[in-house]
Amino acid sequence: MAEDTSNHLVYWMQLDLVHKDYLAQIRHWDNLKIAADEQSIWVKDFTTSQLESIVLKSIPFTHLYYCKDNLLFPKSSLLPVGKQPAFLWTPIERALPVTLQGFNHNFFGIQQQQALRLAPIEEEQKVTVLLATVQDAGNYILNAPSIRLQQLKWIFINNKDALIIGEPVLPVNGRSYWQKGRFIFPVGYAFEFTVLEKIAAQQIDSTGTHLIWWIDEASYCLLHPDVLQPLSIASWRQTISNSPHKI
Amino acid sequence: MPYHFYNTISQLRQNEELVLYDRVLHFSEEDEQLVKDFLKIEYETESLNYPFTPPSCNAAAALWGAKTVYTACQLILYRENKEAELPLLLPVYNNEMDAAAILSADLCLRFLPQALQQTKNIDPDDALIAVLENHLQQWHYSGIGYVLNAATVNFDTVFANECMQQLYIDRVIQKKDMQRAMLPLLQKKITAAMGIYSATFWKELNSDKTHE
Repeated sequence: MAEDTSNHLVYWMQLDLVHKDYLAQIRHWDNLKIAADEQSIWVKDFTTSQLESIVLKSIPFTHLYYCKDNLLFPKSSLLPVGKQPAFLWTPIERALPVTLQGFNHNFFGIQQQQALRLAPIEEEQKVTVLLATVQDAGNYILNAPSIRLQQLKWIFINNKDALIIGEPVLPVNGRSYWQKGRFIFPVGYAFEFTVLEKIAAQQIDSTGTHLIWWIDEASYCLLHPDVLQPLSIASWRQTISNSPHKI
Repeated sequence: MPYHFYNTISQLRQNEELVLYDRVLHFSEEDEQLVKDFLKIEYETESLNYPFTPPSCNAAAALWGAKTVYTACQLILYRENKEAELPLLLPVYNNEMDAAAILSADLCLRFLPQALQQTKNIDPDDALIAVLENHLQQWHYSGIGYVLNAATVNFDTVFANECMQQLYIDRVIQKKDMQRAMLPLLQKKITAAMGIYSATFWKELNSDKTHE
């Protein structure tokens, strides 16, 4: 529910500096502002629900005040305790920075090995590689407008499949892949740890010339760019008719 | 006896440059036969790349196309004939014009637009231009990319054969012949060939349409 600001009293919370750490549990309320004087720390800008919450009430050693006419009243008291002090307020996030643990120099797990795995990823990728059976692809390619084939390259695999690389992808049924650097991944998959890409490429193919085609999650195959030939009807007809298993 | 005709045509097909070896307008039968055989092989190689089922070679049409281009270039370079003789030297093809004939003749005829352009550069009033343009008007597959009177172009033979039709559309796209692409008969087929990728393949075609 939205806050009703018209009748809203501004509450301030006071806490001794030594108990500052207790504020950790309300640090995530990013509407809060914080200020400090010599002995204590002050917090303001609570919403009504925050004032009522158990999280706030469970903080010990706090004093709650409300401000009216530049005077500071303890909560549920009509007698002011003093004038409202002037502070320089800062957002709680900035006033109470989070410190992270330092680097552990005594970590001896360096010899550990990381298995290279493909993992499903959320982002959408552009399909640029297609693996289709020769029948499926042939039905389209043999009757296709030449402009659709011009920018593609292909290779005949296992005497039954065609791997077609390039854009725009042909309207043919098949398994689709996307390209990232030298890697060709199945669509929807990438390395579980993307930082490993460079090292993995280096380990798999140190010459740096091959395309690394991940056929599925468990196997890959190296493709030299020279084995890819430009896709044309003639190239298709000649390759298929020269194959030992006639199709 | 040197085979000038064969040498010129084989060089034209292999290097895409036309060399005339002598001032000869007539050639021996042997020479003609060589050209015929050569063009047959060329056609076989080229038809491997044709979609659907390519029609078989029509050697007579191929030879006619070669002769037309050869004679035209002879006439551009060494003219000793009168204007009235030109139609006799460049006769009209007088057999049936089917897909096989169109594709076979195109082996050499596809170079005619460039020869025509050359003629125009030398003398825009040359009578040869009208004769050659007349040929191209009839063999308009070879004339794609060259501005012709599109209204009188006959597409019946082209659309009768699906291989021919596909090749025609391919060439219009390849040469980006806007004049042909705008013909109502072709426009839909061209858009269909490019599918949703027309912006990738031929940007200007789309931008022109939006202006209309």
